[in-house]
Formats: sequence, structure tokens, C-alpha cells
Amino acid sequence: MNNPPEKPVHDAVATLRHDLRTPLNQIIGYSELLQEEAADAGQASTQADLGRILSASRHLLEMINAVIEPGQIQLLKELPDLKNLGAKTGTNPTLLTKTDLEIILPKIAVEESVEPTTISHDAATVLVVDDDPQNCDLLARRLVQEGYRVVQTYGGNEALAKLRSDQVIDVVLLDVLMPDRGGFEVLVEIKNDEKLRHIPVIMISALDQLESVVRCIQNGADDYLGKPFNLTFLRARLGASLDRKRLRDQEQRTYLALKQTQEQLVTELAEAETYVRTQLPKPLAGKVSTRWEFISSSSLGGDAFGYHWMDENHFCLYLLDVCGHGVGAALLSISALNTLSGQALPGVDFKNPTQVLAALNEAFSMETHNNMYFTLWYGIYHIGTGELRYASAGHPPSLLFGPEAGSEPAQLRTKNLFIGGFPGGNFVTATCTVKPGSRLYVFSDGVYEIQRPDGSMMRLSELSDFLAAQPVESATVLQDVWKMVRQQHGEDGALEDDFSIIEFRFS
Amino acid sequence: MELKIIEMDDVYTHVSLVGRLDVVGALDVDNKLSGFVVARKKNTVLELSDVSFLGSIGIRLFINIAKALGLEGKRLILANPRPMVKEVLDASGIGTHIPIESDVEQAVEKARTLTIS
Repeated sequence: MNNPPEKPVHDAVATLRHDLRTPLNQIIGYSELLQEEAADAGQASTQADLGRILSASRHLLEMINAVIEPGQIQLLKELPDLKNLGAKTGTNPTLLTKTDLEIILPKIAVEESVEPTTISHDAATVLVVDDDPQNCDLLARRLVQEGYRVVQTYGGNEALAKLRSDQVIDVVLLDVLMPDRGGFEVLVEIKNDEKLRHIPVIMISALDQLESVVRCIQNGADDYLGKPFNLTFLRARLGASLDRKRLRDQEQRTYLALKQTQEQLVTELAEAETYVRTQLPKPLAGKVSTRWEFISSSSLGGDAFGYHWMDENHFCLYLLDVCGHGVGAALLSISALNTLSGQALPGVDFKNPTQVLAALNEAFSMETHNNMYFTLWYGIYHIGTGELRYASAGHPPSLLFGPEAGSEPAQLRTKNLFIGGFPGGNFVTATCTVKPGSRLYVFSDGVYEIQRPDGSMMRLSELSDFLAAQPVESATVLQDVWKMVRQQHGEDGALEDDFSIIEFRFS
Repeated sequence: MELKIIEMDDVYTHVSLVGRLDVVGALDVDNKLSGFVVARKKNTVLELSDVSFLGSIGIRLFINIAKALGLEGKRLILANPRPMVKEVLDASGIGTHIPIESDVEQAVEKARTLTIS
């Protein structure tokens, strides 16, 4: 039965293999470097001698690779005719010769040298991490020859410290096996670090560490390089990793630019909201007392409102809602608000809602106001008669509750087109009488056009029912409406539209 | 927001919208709808039976199309809105400028025969 080798045996063999291969790889690496330098200097005989060293070293490496492998050792142990093999070649089987190996092992293809290719890397900086200083040096010299800037570190902790310093590192070549902190552990730390995770990491490993390499790649390593280093692979993998990093860096720059723009937009919207809020009137006390709630949507919905005494008898009240969202909508809402509060429509009687709406419709046509229109509820209350003259333009009705508890509200609305949509048009006014003790609620559609988590929409009648159910003397009706709306909408997520509601109490 | 072309011939265009006509939906469909309908320069039935929500931005879209068609002597007719959408249309007062038909066949008939002097 051909059982797998036990773990201690496996580890011991792996260590032996590593210890033999490491200096040999260095001999090969340095010989290659010297051979190239000899070639550059025209020293043909030195070049030839170095070629012989290289050839012998590679051959020795092939034998180590082939023989000192845990599975292979086990196989050799269990070969029934191992003694016969020794007899056949006239050697002791524990001291196998090249001939023995050629019988046992398949031929190993010798890597052919490949002409170097030119890869543009704009003098990128490579961090080489290997606990063996000679390995580190060998790789560093190779990379410098290739035009890279190189930073060498000899352990995981030192590498992490270097990465977290001001030194700019474009790519990391990270040895898998290191005494202080293994390559895998270092890799995980790099990939868990927000500031470092974008740096590509290429694992350096011997062929018998492939399981570790796979684990590293599953945890974010970009690639791996086997020892001894193959120059072509080194160039290709570094080049590919740097290309990916360049793309990632570009994405990161684009993302940061977008984030900055977004932050600027949010700031501007917040400033616009603050400005809108400063233009809203203070709550009033007296014969007509007022309260209001204004909660802007995340993108500022274009609501604005106002009220003021025109003279000792006439109280003017209005709420408007510009279509669309954002600073543009807010600009129009403030412009319209100022027009109303400043009564800035020449020749218009502001105690006449029909005249006001018609004049606004001409002054704020969509064609001259960035293709935007607004809805409006406008009323004039006469304190002596209790008469309320009102007109709505494409706006939800206001709700007037009589002084009696539990009374059904009157919906105050007139059928007029919103402001700015089409020139001309007849705007009509309606009239009602407000009894002392009545309450009037003027609001925008953002107060009741609420989508619930299940996709259904709240209705105006639900708002009306809620208001009707509130105690007549309650001072927190508007806050309670807001709580109810938040509950209907679901706690998460901003409202899609501004929430604006005013309560007028008539004494 | 989805735009469906139901029928078109030399006399009229019949299209339908599917989804929520809020800020996102209007942005999504504005170019497609306006580009297609206005470029055809025909009386147009815009069916709203599959529109679940209509915001003010959607009304602006209707106005723009109606005005653009009006310049060519053509009309936009809104057809078969759901009750909630109908409420919004009624509240806006847009019906005085853009016909709203509850019956699609009647809307189509109107689109086939309507002329503006």
C-alpha cells in the first residue's frame, strides 16, 4: 500500500529541500548576473566558464527537485527492486548516481533562455521581502538591472513598517517562508489595511510551497514567482501587476474625484437648505398662531412657505413646492417666496388670490425659469369677518378643521393649473368662513405621498384621518405627523421629497 | 422606467410607460420618450396604466412633450391613469391643457381624429 508520508517526515524533507535549493538558487542567480556582465564586457572566456557553472548548478537543482520530494522519497523507500537497482548500477541505493536517477526519474526539461522583452514600468518601486539577505540582494540586483527602484527588507514586520512609512511602494515581492512573520500573515495584514490593500503583492515561493501560494492568491495575492527566478516570468508578472495597479490607481483617483464632488454637492445642498430655512417665518402667537415643520429631503425638494399680516385685518399665508429637486429648485422657490413676501408683482392686489396666481404664472413661466414650475396654495384671511379667500395651483388641498372635536375637515382646493406651465389661463378663487377655534393645515405633497416599505403609497385621506384623530389642544400635532410619516416610510432612508406642513390656529 | 411602443402609423403614436415616474424614473425615460414621440410629430397617446407613481417631475415631462408636439400642431393625450396617478393629475390642473382619457380606445380614437387648427 502506498501511503502518503507522515507529516514530520514530510516537513523534514521539505526543510532539507529548501536548505539545499536556497544556496543553489543563489549560485545560479549570481552566475547569471555575472555572465551577463561578462557578456557586456566582452569577456568571452569568463562568460563560457560561468556558463559551465550555471549548467552544472541547474543540473544539480534538477536532481534535488526530483529526488528530495516527500512523495518521491516514500516511493523510493517502497520500490521493491531498489536493491536490484543498486546492483544494476553497481552502487549503494542510498547513494544514488545520476545514472540511477535517469532510470528512476523522467527527464526534466531544461528551461530555455528567452530574449528579454521591454516592459514600461516608469521606474516603479519594488519592495523585496525575503529573510535571506542573499536572495534579497540577488533579486534586487536583477530588478535594478531592469530599471526598477528597489527597497529591501528581511522580514514581515520590517516590510509592514516600510509599507506604512512615507515610502511609496508600487509592488511587493513577498517570500512565503519567513521566520518572524510568514508571507501569508503579512499578505493578510496588507489586504486588511485600507491604505495598503491596493498595492499588488507577488508571492515568492519554492515549488514545494504551492499549497501556500494558492492560499495566498485566494487571500488577495496578485501572483507568484517560483524560485529560482525566471527572468521572463519576473518581468511579465511584475509588468502585469503594475499595469493592474495603474488601473486601480486610476479608478481610485476617479472615485476620489467623484467622492469630492459628491461631498461638495452635499455641502451645497446643506447650505441651500440652511438658507431656505432662514427665509421661513418665525412661529406666531396671537389671533392667528402658527407652528410649522420643515424637513428637507436629502436632495432638497424645493418647498418654501410664508405668512404675514398685510394690515391689521388681513393675514396672508402661502406654501409652494417647486417641481424637481436640488439647488436649482431651491433657487426658484426662494425667488417665488421673496416675490410673495415682498408683494413684488406690479399692479397686483395681493389680497386677491386670482390676481396673484395669474401674475405669478406670467412672471415664472417654465420657458424663462429653467423649465421648472411650482405648485402653490395661497390664502388671505380677514380677521374681522373670518373669511378665508384662497386659491390652489396644482397643489394639494389644505385641511380646515372646525372648533368641534372630531369634526371632518374641509378640503380647501381650487382647480387651477400649477404656476409657470402654460401662459394665460383662468385662475379661480374660493371662499370659506373660518370659525374661531378652527385649525388649518397647509402642506406640500411630501407630507403624504410616502412610499411604504411594501411599495404601497400613503394617501391624503390617511393624513386627514390622522389629523382628525389628534386632540384639539395638542401642541405636538406636527411632530406627531412627522413621526407617523417616518413610521410609514420606514426608519431607514431619506424621504424623497421635502416635508413641509404649517398649522394655523384661529382664535 | 420602461417605455413600450404599442403602435404607430402615419397618423398617430401610441406608447406606454411602466414603472414609477418619480425623479429617477423621469430622468431614465425623459430622453427616450421625448426623443421618440416628439421626433415622430404625430398625435400621441401616452398610456399610464402601468405607472404606479407620478411626481411633479413626471408632470413636467408631460408638459414638455405636449408643448413640443403643440409646436407641430399635434396633441398629447394621457390615457388610463391609475386612481392615485389620476388624483395627482387632477390636483395639478394639467387636464385643462392635456386631455386625460380613462379609456385607451377613446384616447386612440381621439388621437386618430384630433386636429388643431
